[in-house]
This record gives sequence, structure tokens and C-alpha cells, in this order.
Amino acid sequence: MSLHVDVELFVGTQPRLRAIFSAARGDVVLIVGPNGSGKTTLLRALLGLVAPTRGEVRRDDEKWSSGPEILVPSEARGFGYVPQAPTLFAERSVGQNVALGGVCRDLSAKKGATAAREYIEAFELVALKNRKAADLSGGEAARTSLARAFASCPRHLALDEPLAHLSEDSRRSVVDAVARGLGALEGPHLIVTHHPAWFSQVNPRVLRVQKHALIED
Amino acid sequence: MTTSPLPRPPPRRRWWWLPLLSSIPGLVFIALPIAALIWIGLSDGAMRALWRPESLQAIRVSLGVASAATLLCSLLGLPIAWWLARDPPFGSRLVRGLAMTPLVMPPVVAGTGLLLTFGRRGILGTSLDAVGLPISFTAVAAVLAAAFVSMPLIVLSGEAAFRGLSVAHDDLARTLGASPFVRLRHIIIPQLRNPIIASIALCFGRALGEFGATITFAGSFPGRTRTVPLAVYQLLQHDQESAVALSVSLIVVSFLVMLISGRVIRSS
Amino acid sequence: MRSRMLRRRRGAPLRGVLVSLMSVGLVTGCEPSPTATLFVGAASSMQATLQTRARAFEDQHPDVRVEVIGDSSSRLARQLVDGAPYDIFVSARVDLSDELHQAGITSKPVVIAAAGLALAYEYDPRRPSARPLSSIISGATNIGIADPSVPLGHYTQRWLSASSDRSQVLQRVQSFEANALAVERRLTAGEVSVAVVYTQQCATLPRHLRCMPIDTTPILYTSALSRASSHPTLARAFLREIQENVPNSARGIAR
Repeated sequence: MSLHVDVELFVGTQPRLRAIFSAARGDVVLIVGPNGSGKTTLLRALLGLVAPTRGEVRRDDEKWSSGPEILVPSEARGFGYVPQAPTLFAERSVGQNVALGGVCRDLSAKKGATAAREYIEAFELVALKNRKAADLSGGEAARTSLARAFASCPRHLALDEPLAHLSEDSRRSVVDAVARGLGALEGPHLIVTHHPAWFSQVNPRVLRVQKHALIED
Repeated sequence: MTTSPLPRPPPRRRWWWLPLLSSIPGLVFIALPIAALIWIGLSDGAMRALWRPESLQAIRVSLGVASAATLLCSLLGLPIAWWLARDPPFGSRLVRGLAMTPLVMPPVVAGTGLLLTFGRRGILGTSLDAVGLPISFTAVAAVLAAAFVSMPLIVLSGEAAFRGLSVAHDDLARTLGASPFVRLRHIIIPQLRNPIIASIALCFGRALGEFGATITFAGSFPGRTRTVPLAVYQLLQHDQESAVALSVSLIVVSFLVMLISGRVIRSS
Repeated sequence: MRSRMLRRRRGAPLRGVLVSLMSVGLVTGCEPSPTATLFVGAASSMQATLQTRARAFEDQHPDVRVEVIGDSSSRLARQLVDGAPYDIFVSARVDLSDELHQAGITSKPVVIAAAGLALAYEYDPRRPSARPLSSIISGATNIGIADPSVPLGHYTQRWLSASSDRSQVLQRVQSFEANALAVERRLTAGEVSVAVVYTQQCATLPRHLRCMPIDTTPILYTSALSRASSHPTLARAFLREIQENVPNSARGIAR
């Protein structure tokens, strides 16, 4: 299956980004560009959280949004989203936060538990399983957010600068875990980042924003 | 093994005692009348007066009326709070003003308004009376009176509760595939639980202490509408000791409600 | 996995207490009493007398409760018009009772007692002999009277308008009380040294207070049955009790 994007994103009356690209099954697309170039807005448009001002987002033949109208809601698009701010539930533990991924996706109890366990291990959160999310460091919170997205067994992943809070050592192991996780899922996946070099092991396609345009040749 | 020295506590700020000192007059102002009530109320004669059937009856009526009024307020007021929290494009200032009005109205005036609406000769009352459903001077009237004056509290604090909901968390749950029901159960209600419990406790406390609207709209009928405040008013005419004992019981109940709701909130 | 979300066991017992506190009220607070209850709306100056009659009636009828609710006759009349569930109305104003009768809200009022106004004042042991009215008034620091909107106040104004001490009295009045019992309370608490009350209130005043009748125009107390009464037979029985016994006690049997 492939995603087809042909949109114009405005913020208010200001044009932000013109994006035209496609991504096929198994692709990992890196979106690179300066701050404020609309990368996060693009991601949110793909997720269905905002509607593009013009244009359409399509998966195969299924139209997700057309112009400013959202035809398929976020819940039905099958994404695992890791936003820039980890957005964890402060009063719940790491284990509960990760498990929430499966709950949201309405996975069976068994499948959800298995996935949660698997990714807690993959992102080295076992020791932190019972710690309250409010007590985590930036890096630990980022890993928890990643684990939660993967544990929901999505079709696609949308990661917004996932390695920003990590130190150099943990970065390597996290990228390993992300690579393994992405390999097990359908795709395509999208990653917004300032450092495409960190993700070289997933064999990404790199799309750069230039002069308010993200156009694939 | 070398042990590093314990970190020194941060130095005290200058004039650290100022907030404490300036709070004392206010605290004394509140505490003295309450202390006076408790001092008289805990005497032998007063305690005996508390166990008289009329006193117990007034307490039962008060608890029943306040509970029913709180329930009514929650059912009617929380939707308003929810709507206001979403910053609707029109009408919010008017609605908020309307919802606040019972707070600034003298309760006796509120009671008069209720009488003009639901009383035997009132706008709605005439039809209700014709169908055999008189409202004024019944227990229902006491509930309506208490609910009317307590509504602003639940709308105000409820709005704060709904505003406190995190859109980011809700959005995230949506992207993860959560249906509205799942989001309600696992994301929204856990966030609302504590603020709403606090609102309800606040509303209950106000409903418990209502006097002016109750006596005007519901009258002071023992066993039916004579709540503790009304009973105290009645008793003050000839038996101050019993009045004080009953007042102390109400203070104790309010205190218990606040204590319990505080514990419930903290036990998440 | 779901049970991990629902880890709220610790809060459950406390919430249980809160809920039962509220539901005790909901369930029992508003239930009707098992015995028949008569509600008597009585002018507050008659409240004490009627409560004695009420206890006597309850002794004779063990499964009946009589609740005497005291307030100013004008407020009681207003409540009756608004549908308050009194079974009996005892009024200190004949004109109000007549109005209610005309409007079909009560039966024909029957006079049960006559009273007058009296000036109650603190007994000054230095001047033991009876003093003239004017001397008592001018010697008072403050005087308590009822608000003109209530019967006692109404009758007080009537007396004042015909009295030569009017200006002296009004100079010393500081507040207008809500009903006869409120005036009495001010006096017994020592907040006023002189007050205008009903003659039958004099009987129950403490020793240090004396009374002097001031208005010979009798104030008539009436009793009537409310047409909306839910226990008309019982109410009529209590009415008979009042009508036969009150005239004796109203003249001042100490409580």
C-alpha cells in the first residue's frame, strides 16, 4: 500500500508548505527542513489532526482528506504517533503508558500485553516499568513514547524528532530498536528530523523542504 | 569510602515570616466565631439537645436536600460548564453572566423568583398545581432552592475542570486509534475525576448551608423542608443552646465532606 | 492489562463513606412521617400558647403530630395564598383572616382570644412605684418595636399615631423587628430596655421586666381551617381544642 500526498498547508492566511510526494509499502521517509518550515504541520495533516487547506491525502484509493474536509478520521488511519513533546500520562507508570497504546487500538488483551512487553524490552524500559511518567528524564520519556506507539501495533509510524532528547549512547540503541520495529510493520513510515545521518540504518528516502516546498522528483 | 557531604538546604528567603504573619488576622477572624460555637456546642446540655428527634430530623432533611440538590446541580450545571469550556463563538459571555447570577442574588430574592415561577400562582406553578404537582413548600422546593443557589459554583469550577483537559493527549489517543468511548474512559474521565469531585464537594457544602431561598420558597416545615439552617433560625428564638449544638453538627458534617473528598482526590 | 488502569482500590472505602452519607439523606430525609402531621401556621405571639395546646392534643391522639410554625400573620397569609400546606391558620389580624376567607382559602375565622398592646420595661429598683408612661419612655435609652409590615408593628403604629409620646418613642427606636417574638428577644437579651409587645407575652417575661397596657382597642386572634388541608377531620378537632381552651391560657399561664 502507498501513501500519496499532494497538499498545500496554510497557517491562517500565510502559506506554509506545499508538499507533493508518494511513499510505498516498506518506505521510511525522512522529512528534513529548517525550523518553522511546516514539517510538524505536514505530519499532523497526514495524521488527520489538521486539515490541509488545499489538496488531498490518499492511501491507495482511499481518500483521507480532500481540500479542507477530513474524510477519514485519525482513529481509522492506523498510525503510531510520537510527537515532539512525549505527551505521556503523568500520573500513570511507564508500563501503563505503554499499555495504553494497545488499549487505544482495541487490541485483544493478550496481543496488547505481548506487544507492550516486547517494546518495553526493546526500548530498555524494564527497570523503569513502575516509575510514574512525571518522574522520568527527557530521554526516558521519549523512549516511553516510542514504545507506546509501537505497542499499539500500527500500520504506519509518524515520528517527530524522536531522538532529540537522547544522549549519543542511547541514540544508537534506540535507532536499532526503531529500525527493528519499523521492519516488522507494513509502512510506509515518516520521520521528521534534523539529522538524517542518524537514521542511515533504516535505508530511508530523504525529502528536504526547500523554499516552502517539499516536492519529490 | 568517601561520602559526599549532604547538600545544604537552600537559604531561607528574606522576610520568610511575612506571608505567615499577614495571614494570622484573617485566620483569627474565621476561627474565633467557630471556636465560640464549638465551645458552647460541646457542652452537656447542647449535646443532649442534639439527640432530640427534631434535631436529628433537621439533619436528615439537610443531608437529603443537599444530596438531591447536588445531584440536580451536577446534571444541569456540568453541561453548561462543558459548553463554556469549549469557548463557543457566541453567547459565552451572556451564558456565563446568567450562570453567575444566583451567586450575586440575595438568596431571599432567589427564593422569591422561584416562588414566582413554581409557586401556586407562578408562571409554571399554575399548570403544575392543576395537574396535582404542587412544588412550593414541599421537599422538592427545598431541593430546587438549594440547587438554584449552588449552580454557579458547579458551573465555575466545572468549567475550570473541562478547560484542564489536554487536547494534546486526546489527539494522541485518536491517532493511536481510540474510539470516543475509549478516550472517554481512559483519557478524559481520569483527568476530570479529581476536579469534578472537588466541584461536587463545593456544591454540597453550599447546598447544605442554604437558608434564604429555602425559607422563602419551601417554608420551614419540620420533617419536610426544615433543614438545619432553618431549624437553627427557629431555635435561636427560644433555645440558643440547642441552636448552637445543631450549628456545630452542620460544621462537623461540612468538615467531614471536605475531608473525605480530599482523601478521595488524593487516592488516585 | 485493563486492571492495571483501574488501580483505584485505595479510594473505594472512602468514596463508599461519602456515598452512604449522601444516600442516607436521600433515602430517609424526604420520606413522609408515618403518623399524621398537622401543620399550624400561627402568629408568633401565639406560638407558645398553641404549642401547649398541641402537646395536649398529641397526648389525646397518640398517632398524631402537631407542628406549630410561628411567623408573622402577614407572611403566613402570603404563604397560604401561595399554597403552603398549613392545616390551620391562627392570625393576629382579623382583616387578613377575612381576606383569606373571602378568597376561599380558609373557612370562616373564629375569634379565639383578644389581646392588647403593652409596654414592657425594665424594672428599676430605685424607683419602685408605678411610673407614668411618658416617664418610662423618656427614661429609655432604646426602644424595640416591630416592623410596621407585621401585625404587632401595625398595631404599634396605630397606637403611636394616637399617642402624645409618639416623637419620644420614635427617637429611641433603633430597629424594626421581624415579629413579636423577635421584639421579646431583644428585650430579654437586654439590647433594648423598653419594648411594645402583646399583653399575653407579658406573662412569660422574666422577673426583672414589667408590663403596662397601653392600647385599649382589642387585638383579635382568629383561627380558621385551611381548605387545602389534607387532614380536615383531625384539623377540625384541633380547632375545637384551640377554640375551647386558648381563651383561658392566652391570658397568661406561664410556660
